[in-house]
Amino acid sequence: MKVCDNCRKNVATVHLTEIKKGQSEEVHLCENCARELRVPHKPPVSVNDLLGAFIEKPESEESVRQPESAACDECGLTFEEFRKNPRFGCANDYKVFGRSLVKLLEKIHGSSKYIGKVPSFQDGQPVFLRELVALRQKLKKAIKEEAYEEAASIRDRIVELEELARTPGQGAPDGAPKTRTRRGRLNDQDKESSE
Amino acid sequence: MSLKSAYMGAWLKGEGPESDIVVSSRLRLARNLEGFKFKGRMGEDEELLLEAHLREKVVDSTFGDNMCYLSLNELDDLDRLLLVESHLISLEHFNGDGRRGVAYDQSGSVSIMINEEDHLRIQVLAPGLALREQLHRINAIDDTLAEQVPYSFNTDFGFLTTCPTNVGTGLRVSVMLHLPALALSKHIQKVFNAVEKVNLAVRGFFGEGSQALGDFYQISNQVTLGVSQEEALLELDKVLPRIIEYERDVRQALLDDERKVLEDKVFRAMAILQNARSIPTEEAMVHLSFLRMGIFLQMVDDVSIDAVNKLFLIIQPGHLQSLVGSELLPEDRDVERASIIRKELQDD
Repeated sequence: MKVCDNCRKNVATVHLTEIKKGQSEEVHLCENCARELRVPHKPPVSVNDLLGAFIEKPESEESVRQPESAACDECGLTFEEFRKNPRFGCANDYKVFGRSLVKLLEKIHGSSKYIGKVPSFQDGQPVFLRELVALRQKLKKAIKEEAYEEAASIRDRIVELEELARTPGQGAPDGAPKTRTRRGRLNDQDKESSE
Repeated sequence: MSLKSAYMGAWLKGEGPESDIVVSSRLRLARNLEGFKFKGRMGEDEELLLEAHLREKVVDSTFGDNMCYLSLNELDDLDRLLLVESHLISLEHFNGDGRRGVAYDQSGSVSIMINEEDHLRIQVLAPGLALREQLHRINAIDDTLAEQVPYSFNTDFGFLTTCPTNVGTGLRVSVMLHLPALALSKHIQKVFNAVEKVNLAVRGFFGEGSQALGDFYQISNQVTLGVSQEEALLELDKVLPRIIEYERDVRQALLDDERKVLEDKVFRAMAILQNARSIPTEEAMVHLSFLRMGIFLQMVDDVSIDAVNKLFLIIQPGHLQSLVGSELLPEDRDVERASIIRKELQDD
């Protein structure tokens, strides 16, 4: 049984493998430290009515750009209203709520990145968008198989494509949430300690 | 439009793989249309327009055998109740407001709700455990519709939905299990704990927000973002065979060690069902549950599984009143229910 690398007190239950300059390094954390260090966590509960409790106020640095009272210019929904009743008013909210939304989705689903089928009506979109979705699946598989070098190179390609997707004129949604990529870190969430 | 076609869903036929334990497999996809606000923010005009537009696409389709459409706004409470009991619409759709409707096929194995929480809720329903086959079926419907109506979709979050718990694949897979032996031996809590640990949910007889009735439980996936449809099914694949085996093992252990106790439960249940003169739904479900298990354990051979499965549906308040042909007070329903059960078990 491993002790948390951060507090050196509690039993480590969250195990991460970081890749830095091609070298993999293991980090073991207890739940409290993992939470403080903002390691994405699998959803503890997902009853709709408890959703409100999940939705944090936007961080202060973001509040300037994204005040709670700012309303979606298409449906009029504010983040404050969404926090009280977590139902979106239109597709545009997914762009407007930015980083706060990404954090919420990570709490509910353990991820904020889509993996799955791309409908054929997306065919008009740049080809790389389809590749991007497919690469996310490959990344997951590589991590599962502990092929960390391959995973790191797939991740770099994903970062590249995501940046390209956000370049104006490439079919990226305006004001889409900036992807905060955890460079140099691949998370292996909630793996039970095997020791 | 007569609701008779909703009367006996093919999903309740007691057929299909693992049908001693698995009653039905239900899959649904949540979809919204580009260019329209989501349900809560649409005006009445927009709702009307969307309903008419989608209705045409769905009814003209060949998704099922003779698709028919019902506008929920034109139905009375009793007819809407029939649709919930037949699992053709959700409780949310039943209780909802605004312009909304449902299209479904003759056998009740495909239903498409319009203006539920999302613009479209596509559902397929089959008896027994049939997840892959049904996933293939629902995707065929989804892909056909996607060619005709542009969905809200983006590569970051996938299919966009009203509730953040559905975004991504929009896929919810629910398997209805009959677990009387695990409930009787008080092992059921262990199953719940194990299921919740792997991010699956346990729900009641009528899905989200409903109670477990007659030892029926629905197990469904929760995560829709960051996992593909296939991965969601794999999560269930890991857990379901173990629950099914667990229930069968406990049934066998009860047979081996406490046969008399088990027989007593089953035959008392049958005696009450064959003789009661007034019986509420919950009580009838409890006894029917024991009877269903007794049939599969070959303790009872003069009642067919079809009759019992049919009773699970027709003793529900909506179906019961529809059979009688008039609205009844709860105490009168209990009397009618007892009479219908006696007749059904006698004829069989």
